[in-house]
Amino acid sequence: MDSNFLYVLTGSVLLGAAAGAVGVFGLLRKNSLVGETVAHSMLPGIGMAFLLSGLKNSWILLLGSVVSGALSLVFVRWVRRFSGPRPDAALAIALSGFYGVGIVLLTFIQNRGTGDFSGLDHVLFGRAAAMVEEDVWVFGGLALVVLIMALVGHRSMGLVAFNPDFARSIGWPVRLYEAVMAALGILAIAAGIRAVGIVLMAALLVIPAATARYWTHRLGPTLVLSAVFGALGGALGTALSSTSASMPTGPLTVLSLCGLALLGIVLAPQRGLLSKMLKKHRKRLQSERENFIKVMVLCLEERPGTQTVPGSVLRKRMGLSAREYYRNVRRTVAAGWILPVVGGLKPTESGWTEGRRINRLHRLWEVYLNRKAGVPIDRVHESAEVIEHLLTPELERDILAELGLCEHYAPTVEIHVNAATGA
Amino acid sequence: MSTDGWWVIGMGALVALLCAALGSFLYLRRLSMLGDAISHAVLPGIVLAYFVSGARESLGLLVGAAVFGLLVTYLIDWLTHKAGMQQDASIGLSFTLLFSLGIVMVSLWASRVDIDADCVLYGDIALLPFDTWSWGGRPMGPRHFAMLLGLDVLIGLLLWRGYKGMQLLAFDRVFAASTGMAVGLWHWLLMGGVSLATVFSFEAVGAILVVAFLVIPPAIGHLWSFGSLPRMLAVAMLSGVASSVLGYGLAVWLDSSIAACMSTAALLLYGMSWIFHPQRGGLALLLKKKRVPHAPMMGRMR
Repeated sequence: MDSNFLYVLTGSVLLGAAAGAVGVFGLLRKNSLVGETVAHSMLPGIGMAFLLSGLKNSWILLLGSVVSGALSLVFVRWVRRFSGPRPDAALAIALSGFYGVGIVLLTFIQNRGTGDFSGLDHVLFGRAAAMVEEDVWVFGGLALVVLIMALVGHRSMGLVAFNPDFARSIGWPVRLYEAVMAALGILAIAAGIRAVGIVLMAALLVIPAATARYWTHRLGPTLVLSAVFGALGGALGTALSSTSASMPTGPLTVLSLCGLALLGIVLAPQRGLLSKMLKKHRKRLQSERENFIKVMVLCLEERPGTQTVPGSVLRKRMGLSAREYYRNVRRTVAAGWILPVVGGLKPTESGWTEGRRINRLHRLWEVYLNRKAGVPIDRVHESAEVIEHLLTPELERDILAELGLCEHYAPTVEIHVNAATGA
Repeated sequence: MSTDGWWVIGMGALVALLCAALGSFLYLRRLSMLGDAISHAVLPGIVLAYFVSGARESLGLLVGAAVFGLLVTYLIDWLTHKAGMQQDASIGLSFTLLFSLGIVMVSLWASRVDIDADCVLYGDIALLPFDTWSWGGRPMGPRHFAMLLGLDVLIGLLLWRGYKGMQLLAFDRVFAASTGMAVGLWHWLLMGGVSLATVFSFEAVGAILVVAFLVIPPAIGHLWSFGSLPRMLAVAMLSGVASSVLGYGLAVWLDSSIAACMSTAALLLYGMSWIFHPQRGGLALLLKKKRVPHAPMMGRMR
């Protein structure tokens, strides 16, 4: 591996990490598309810097992009003040307006034919491989500074981003913090566009932060993870684009980041789709089990003195096919709630408790709906079938209190049955 | 000025009319950044259609673009509601993903697809007048002009027939739904219209400058509407046409990209509103010698 590639790789890793970390603050403020606007708005600054100085020096282009990025934020504020509170329109106006001016400048420079223009077009889609050693020092160093500042100041900036009103009320200089956050963002973007380009810079800010949020809820870890994802994306994009001469870095970086995001969306514990599906599945199994034992206990209560329920009675009452019935039995036995005995099934001690608990909750909900919500008695059953699996002991206590009943209140029969038989 | 110049201005005006009318409804519904997203996201559709059919004017182009325009809307919905991602982040992820796919395709198939990164960024409105067509032996002018005209008429009809629905949806979605109106259908119609408009404007002005036409003229229209939607639409469309004329002049003067100059002209017109607006403009404020508090200007328009 040649040393220039190592330089470039280091540069992209740093740029990705810095943008990833800074992007978290934008995400927290539910304003992550502002990065899109700032990035696009840097184009006229770059063009102007080149036009005025005639140089492609990293520092001068950086200065130009920072100045016009900051101007775009000021412009967004003005538009909001003037055109009313339409944040999205303000962002879109600044984005397209500044970008248009930038393209005017670039084509003007191109058509005038002065100066060595080549390489400026890399700012649009990014060309990490075009970075020379000096670029890596300038932009990588800048990214490192931004990264360190974001990590060091994340607690206070996180508070300001989460709840500016509270921060103001305890006497913090909120505007100063916001200015620092904006400055960090602008610097990270100005550095990052060297690697991914203006057009797709928003992705480097938004995607790592959004991905990190799948894996953790806490701010510190979010910041670190987001930086790691950003770095990974930068490295993958650079490595992939170095395999082909015509492939810009930006799109490949974005695709790598999206791959990482997909991993998070699917696999993350708690918030991931897979774990959500698993949770739903477990809940369904639990409901099935509870329904089974509930009906069994009901059957036994209706025939005092019996200890076992024949399988055929249960099957008919629950409307189960042979296969479903077998599955239910297997699972309920595994839960330790029933025992298969001669002549049918018999609830164990815990089975009795569980079945009674579910029946009680079912009836309690029916009483509650009927008395408090005024639902007619013949319509309460379906809702109770669902809610009986969800009521926690705390909710149960609340319902009892609401109904003005003591803790040991136990309606013995489902009330809609009562109504139907006129008992 | 040459005839080509007039054709270019004409095409710019048609793009501006189209985008201003649709953009006004996006603007009122606070979906301007969604317009940005759609304008980026149709790229893979366009590239795929070019690749499959090899021609510029094809039904495939329409279908491809409409599909991807609706796909990005769907993807944003899915990420927000099914995958639990914050909405701004899901917009950011969706359109950068699709746009990147488009750029990768362009780079991979550069030799086989008649479209390049420059066209994606600036469009090539200056070249379009040379692609002419004739009908029954009579020259009918640039092909793209005719296509744009057709789309303008189509979208115009849609907005004219569906004006009430669009208006209701723009101002009070909940009420609209409560009247039994098919809110979802109107939403998709608007998004479909924006996708089509983006595709057709794409060749003329490029991906990102479409956004300028989608948002800046409506913003001007909103400022000068004084509470009336028809006036907002009229001002938006007028300022769109004015910016394409002005922009062409600017481009000739500076020898620069025509499309970019048109969007710069739109920005300038918006800036003029800052000065000349009768209630909030700089001149009015100077004359009144008193700062108008930042308060809702148009009760009905909010």
